[in-house]
Amino acid sequence: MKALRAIVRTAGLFLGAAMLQWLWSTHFAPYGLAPQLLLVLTVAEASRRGAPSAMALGFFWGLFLDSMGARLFGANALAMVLLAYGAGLVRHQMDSGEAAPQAVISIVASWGYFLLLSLVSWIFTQRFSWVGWTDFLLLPFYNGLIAAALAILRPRRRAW
Amino acid sequence: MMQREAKISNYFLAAYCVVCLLLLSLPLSGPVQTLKAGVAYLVDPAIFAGENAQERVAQLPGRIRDLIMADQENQILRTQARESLLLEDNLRQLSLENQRLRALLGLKAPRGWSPLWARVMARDPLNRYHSFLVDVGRGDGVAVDDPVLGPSPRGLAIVGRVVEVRSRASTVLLLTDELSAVAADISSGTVEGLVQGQGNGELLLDYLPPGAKPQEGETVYTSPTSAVFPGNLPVGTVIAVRPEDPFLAVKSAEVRPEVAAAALADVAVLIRGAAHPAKFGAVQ
Repeated sequence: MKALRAIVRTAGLFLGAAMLQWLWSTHFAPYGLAPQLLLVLTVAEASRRGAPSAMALGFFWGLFLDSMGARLFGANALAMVLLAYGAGLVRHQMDSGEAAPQAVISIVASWGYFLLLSLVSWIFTQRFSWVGWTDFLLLPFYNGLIAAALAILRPRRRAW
Repeated sequence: MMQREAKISNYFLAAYCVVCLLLLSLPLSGPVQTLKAGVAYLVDPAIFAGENAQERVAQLPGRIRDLIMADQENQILRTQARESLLLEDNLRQLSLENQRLRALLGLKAPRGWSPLWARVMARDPLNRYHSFLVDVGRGDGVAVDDPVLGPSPRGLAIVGRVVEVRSRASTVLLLTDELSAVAADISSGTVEGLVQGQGNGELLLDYLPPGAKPQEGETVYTSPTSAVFPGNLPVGTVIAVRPEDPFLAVKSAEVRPEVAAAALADVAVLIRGAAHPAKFGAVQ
């Protein structure tokens, strides 16, 4: 029963977050800026429940993002998995569940995410795919803001 | 615990990285395309449903506005519909009244008579109680001594008779002329007299028998015994009964004509047989 509940929770989280990411980036993106909600959630999951579950969610969320792209199928999945692993490591070094640490981790993870994608693109297509300075400088802080808000709003007693 | 979690994380990391690198390394065809199609197959319906939902939500303010406007328009249309019902009812009543007036105006011509409507073409003000000219003549089937009737509250009433016929016009001698006379009886139908024109717009019902008791307000009708006019047509209303003259064996009464001939614009000439189709047509 517990396992079933966990599966249902995970599936609901996966689908809900994916749809919210799609909705936000498609319809509520002023000047083309929309937060990487899936990245933020992957980092949050890693901070609260550990790397294994975060890597699983990150992998599949990454595939979801890759399915909407034209090339480099697997790049987002790889980046999310690596970031989930890194956030899981940080979890053991500091209290990363609060709003401020979550914001900082998300900001750093965002830069890492952009750089990883560019690196993967360079390795597999011989082209350094750059997101642009606007996104590189603004989006991480946008992600940090979302991460802080989620940390404040999350239920305290239950795990994420 | 932490070490166990770390170990699991490492294994997961390795597994996921291998899968991702395989996906990246293989060309975008075959198994990779299949996997991508499978992922798209799973997530696309949700995206389409989300898009539909988003469109509906986006249309919501417009639809609410349309709903409010439709409600207001509905209120207005309901009011107009009620007014239309009233108008329809008025129209129906007017239509019934029209039919009734037509029936009144439509003379139930006695056997062998047909009404032919004509316009009063010319009228001499000095002779307004004597005669006028109408725009029907020999070509329309009019003949001398044809009765001429006019509309009144009680239907068609006596106006006069044709005394002169031209090809397209006729002269009508009014009942109020001194030379006009018609056999008539009062509404009781039991007493007959003779209505004569006085030349001043009034009539005199004369030669009533001594036992007659004409009352003011009684209607005078043409007598069926009249040689010129059909019977039972309104002539006028008794307005005064003259005092009995002990030296005369008859009574008389003053009668106001049913039709004010001086103000008439249209008259009906009763002609024998079917009405000529050139003019208004017979009204049954």
